[in-house]
Amino acid sequence: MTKGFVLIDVLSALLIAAVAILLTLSSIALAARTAKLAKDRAIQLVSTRNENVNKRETVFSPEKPEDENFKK
Amino acid sequence: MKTLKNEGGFTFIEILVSMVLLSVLGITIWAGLINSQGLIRKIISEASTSAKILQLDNFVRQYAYKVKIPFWEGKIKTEGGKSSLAIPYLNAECEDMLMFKTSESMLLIGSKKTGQFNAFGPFDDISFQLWEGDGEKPLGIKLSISTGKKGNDQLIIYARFGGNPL
Repeated sequence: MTKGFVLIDVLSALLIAAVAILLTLSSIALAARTAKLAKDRAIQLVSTRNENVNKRETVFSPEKPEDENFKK
Repeated sequence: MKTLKNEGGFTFIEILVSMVLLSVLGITIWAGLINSQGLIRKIISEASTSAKILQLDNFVRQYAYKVKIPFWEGKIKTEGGKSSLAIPYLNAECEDMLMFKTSESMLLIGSKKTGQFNAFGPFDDISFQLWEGDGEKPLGIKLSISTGKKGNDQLIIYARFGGNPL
């Protein structure tokens, strides 16, 4: 076989390489989205903790009466 | 012996079409590569910011909880100006103070008594003040930082003291 340069072979190799590169790029984009969501979640966590802190109040538990007939 | 020999080759149109397809593919990949550089920078920045936020939040709440102001204290006396704040009664000791300082966009938090400070940041805009509730009694610390480069991501942390005056 003395065909030499086979265009179809080169094209198919390039196509496979292009698919591989596109897959890599899409995974980078997905990682970026995940990182953004992680930051939003962290900020949300802080605001939830702030709300919990705002709700918290100092509560003094009443003294428990030793006498069982206290209510009467 | 019969040999495979294609003398015909490809037509000019076929080569032209394949070149157009290749160039479209190449331009797409080139644009994707350029875009991915920005995305990678964004990933590093966002992940780093998330870690810094969580680390700072945990540390501030943990340290603020160690401030235990006696219930008979009416108004505590803080020290410092715009770039620093010192709050007494860290670990329920009058002499020990919880200190907040800023230094070159870094936030330093630590104890005045031990002199050990932890650095957080860098943050674009840092401000801290006493968090006073409905009355004038201090409830904790209000810490405000900017997490975005444009200053639009303002994060406020309310950290409550372990003990408050009545």
